[in-house]
Amino acid sequence: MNDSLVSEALKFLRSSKTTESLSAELASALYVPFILENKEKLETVIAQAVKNGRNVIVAGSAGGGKTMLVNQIISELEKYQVRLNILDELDIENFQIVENSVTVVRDLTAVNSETATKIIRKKSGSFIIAANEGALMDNVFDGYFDRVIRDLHSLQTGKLPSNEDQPIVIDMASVDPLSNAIQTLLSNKILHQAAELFELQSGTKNSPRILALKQLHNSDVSLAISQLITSTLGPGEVTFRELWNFIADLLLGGQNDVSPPTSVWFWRLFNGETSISELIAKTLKPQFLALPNESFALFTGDIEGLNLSKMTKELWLHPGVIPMDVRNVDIRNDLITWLRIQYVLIEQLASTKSKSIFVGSFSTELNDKVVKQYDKVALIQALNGYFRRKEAAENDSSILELWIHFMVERRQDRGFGLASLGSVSAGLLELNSSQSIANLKGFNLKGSRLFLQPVLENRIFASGLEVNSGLFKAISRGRATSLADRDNDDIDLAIKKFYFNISNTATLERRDVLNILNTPHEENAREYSWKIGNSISKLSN
Amino acid sequence: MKKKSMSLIRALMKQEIPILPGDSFSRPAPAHIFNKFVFGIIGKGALLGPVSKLFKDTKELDPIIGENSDRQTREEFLKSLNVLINSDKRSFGSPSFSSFLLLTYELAGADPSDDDYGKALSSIFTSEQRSKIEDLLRKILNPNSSGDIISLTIKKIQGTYSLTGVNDVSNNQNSVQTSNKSVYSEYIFNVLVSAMEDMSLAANSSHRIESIQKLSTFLTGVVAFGLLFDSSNINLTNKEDMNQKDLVQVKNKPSKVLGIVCYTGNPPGNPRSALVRLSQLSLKQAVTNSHSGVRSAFVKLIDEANSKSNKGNESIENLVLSRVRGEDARNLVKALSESGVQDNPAEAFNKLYPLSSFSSAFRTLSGKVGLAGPIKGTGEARIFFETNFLDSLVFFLSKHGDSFGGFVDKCFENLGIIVGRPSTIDSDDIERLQALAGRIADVDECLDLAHENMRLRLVKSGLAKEFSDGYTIMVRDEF
Repeated sequence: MNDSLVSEALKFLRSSKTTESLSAELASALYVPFILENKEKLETVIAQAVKNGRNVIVAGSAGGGKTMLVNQIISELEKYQVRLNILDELDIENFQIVENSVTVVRDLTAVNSETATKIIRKKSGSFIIAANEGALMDNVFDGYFDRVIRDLHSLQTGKLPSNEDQPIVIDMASVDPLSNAIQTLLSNKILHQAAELFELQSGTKNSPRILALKQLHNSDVSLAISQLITSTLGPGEVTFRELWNFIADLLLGGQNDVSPPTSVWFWRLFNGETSISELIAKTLKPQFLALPNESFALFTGDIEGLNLSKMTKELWLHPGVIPMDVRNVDIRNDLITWLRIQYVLIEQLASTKSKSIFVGSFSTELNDKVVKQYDKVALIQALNGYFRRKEAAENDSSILELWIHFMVERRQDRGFGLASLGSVSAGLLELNSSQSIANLKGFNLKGSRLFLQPVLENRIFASGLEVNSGLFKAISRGRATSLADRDNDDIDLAIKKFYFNISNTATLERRDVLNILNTPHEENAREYSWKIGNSISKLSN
Repeated sequence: MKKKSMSLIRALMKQEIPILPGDSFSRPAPAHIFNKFVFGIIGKGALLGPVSKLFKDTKELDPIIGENSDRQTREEFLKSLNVLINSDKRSFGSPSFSSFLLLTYELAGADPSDDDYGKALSSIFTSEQRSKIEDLLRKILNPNSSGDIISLTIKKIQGTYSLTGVNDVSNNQNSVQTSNKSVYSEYIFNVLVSAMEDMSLAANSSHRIESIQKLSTFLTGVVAFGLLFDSSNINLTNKEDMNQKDLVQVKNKPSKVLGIVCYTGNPPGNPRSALVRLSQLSLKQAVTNSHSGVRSAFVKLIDEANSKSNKGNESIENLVLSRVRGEDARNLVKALSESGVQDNPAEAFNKLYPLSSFSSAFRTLSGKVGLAGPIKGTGEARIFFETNFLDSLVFFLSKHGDSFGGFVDKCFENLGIIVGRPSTIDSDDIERLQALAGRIADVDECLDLAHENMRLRLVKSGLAKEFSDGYTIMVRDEF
């Protein structure tokens, strides 16, 4: 392996992780291509379209991977020997429009409005412009990008604009970097070598960090871990920059010379100093891992007594000390958690493919069903269960019940009485993901945001319930009984707004029936149904 | 007698400061205020009596669910009805003490449990303003306009009784007279009407229910700010060191009159954080200023009475009798005399209308809609926003697509609350806040933190949308 590349990778991991400064070689080595639904690579398809004269706008948030994609498109265009006129943000004054060339602007905000206007109005040759959404809304462009903004909003709601007279619009904010890249990056050799170099620079070899990283070389482990991460985080919640911070922390964070070593990736997965680790720990709660049959063996260091699989035996990392020999309670507890995490991740998830036993597993299982299998019935049943304060079961009704509460005053209890605005059959609801590419017929890339929406021809943004890890977490916990428990208030509000919207846009079942639900406790839950006709009469449940 | 001193002082001061807490300040709840506000604007509803009776005697359900219904069915129907109109549990089977959720204005009544808050709020508007509000309330609180099952149920119950000649304010002896003394009403009227117009447009859908909940929440918040506004305004204009030019600049402007820094993170917030400390100090200052304003108005009133006639207690008696009637008048005269009002009116006021009770009144009421807290414990109060209040605040103070900065500005300009860094905040405001914070907090840092906290919370709650590079727009329900 090229030493300078490894050195550059280490420098990148220790920096603010902006891909702008990467050499083409390293950028290419770290790049994980986006694969379109027809299995082609995104950058290849876009480069081909640009070569054929199409303009391209790459929009997205800071750290969202715009520059990385534009650089890959440039590499592709160079292969076609297309004439490029790349704007250097540090030398804008000397920038000249070159007709019959492809003008590339990596960051529209760095360009003055006069130059930008010249680029978008030039008569021959196409352009590739990367821009934050806010910059596109700037008045100086005299509404030129209004159409682009509309296309972006359409993509976010799952619509696919397809006007090929308009620029191709790519919404990087909608692309999920996690599910696309996490497994590849977890086992990326250059990154692992960068971690080794990091240790060498401090005079360490074969440290717990490096020994643990060998576990990720195993494809079963890297696959299981990437699946666990994507199931935990839910759709649409991570930017490329956050992903890189997470990877850097997994590889370089923590210390080797403490007990237990905090430098190993599986400890950092939950205890790293990044927003992703924080979210994973909050959802899965590793401190509550219960392993009644294994805990004693882990405590006494009797690894043989665990009957580990062959793969785990080969990959098992000893923390250097046995918990029962440690007097300090905090260190001993950390050691036990360290061992439990390793056991669950390597033995249960990766090796024997057992079901996850983390406390937040219900949330991740529901995430898998809904996000990966598009199982809308599972989501509907879970939503009904949230209000009924009971765990959803497979034979539950697949009709979404639109429960709302009528309390205005904030009291200690949240109130146990709910009334239904109606109910909607699963057939009238759909799970729609956002889209990422507009105005390029035949080429689709699903976005990372997912919405539960009524089946409507002209969908409106407000009518969808965003499906994310917050929703899964709230649903798996059930509706709080106390108002002091505010964790899921935002989700409660989002569901309430969705129910009001949907009750006015979808066809409701039995519009003449009033349903009331009283849930002081699960076992005492009562439901009353009333037919509101010429008179009001009770319906038997 | 001493127990009622706050209500007596309030009765005396009603002309100067319409919205003030009385002795029963811990009792009023959103249901009471909304009920009495609607009663004050529209009048008593014809459905209140029959529905109240249902909760006392299930036999009264016969016209609704039929004579042949068994006892269990009757009880279940009552429980169902309770969920719809009495989830806040503020109705007790008597029309005199019933404040239902007003899914129809026909349920409005004269429940005194509002301790006059709702009534006072309805009194601050001019006749024209009241007429506009009435028109909108009649649309929003009319179940006939919507086909949703909840409205349908209320409509069915309403149809069971022959309602005639209802809600005629002019025939109602308890109807509220316009006092038209409040500067506050000028700002609040526009905020209310703008949002209520949007609500009225959605009154033909189930959003009507949502609107009613939001309206009830926000009106309670309006009363809470109303407790502070007019009296703070009096206090501001009484400042001796202020020249006429400066006075014109600040007088009557909520941003200057109140200017309360709010804690905008997730409630309740860490009491040791600088922003929480500043928001505590800021609210405390506003409450103290308001109390001081009421006292100034009181002292002025006593001084004027004394200057008209030098007959000592007789002049006070004349003042009281010109404003308060009956037993209350007698009790007030006695209370004033015993408190030594002739010798030191300011001290007498502090005895009869203590700052601690005034402060508790704001805290208790605001806490009931998620506008301030903590409700329990010894922690100092600050304004914060529980998610339900935030939802209402966004609806009343923004339009869909407004910039987040615009929302922050509107909160500052219309309600006098600082929920971020308003573009119109000036160096005088910053100086005032820094003097208040002392070494505890850097005001500039706090405002920036409040701004970002608020933005993030709105985005997380789906009440704002964040574009890349942090540009944020408000997402308000578009019916």
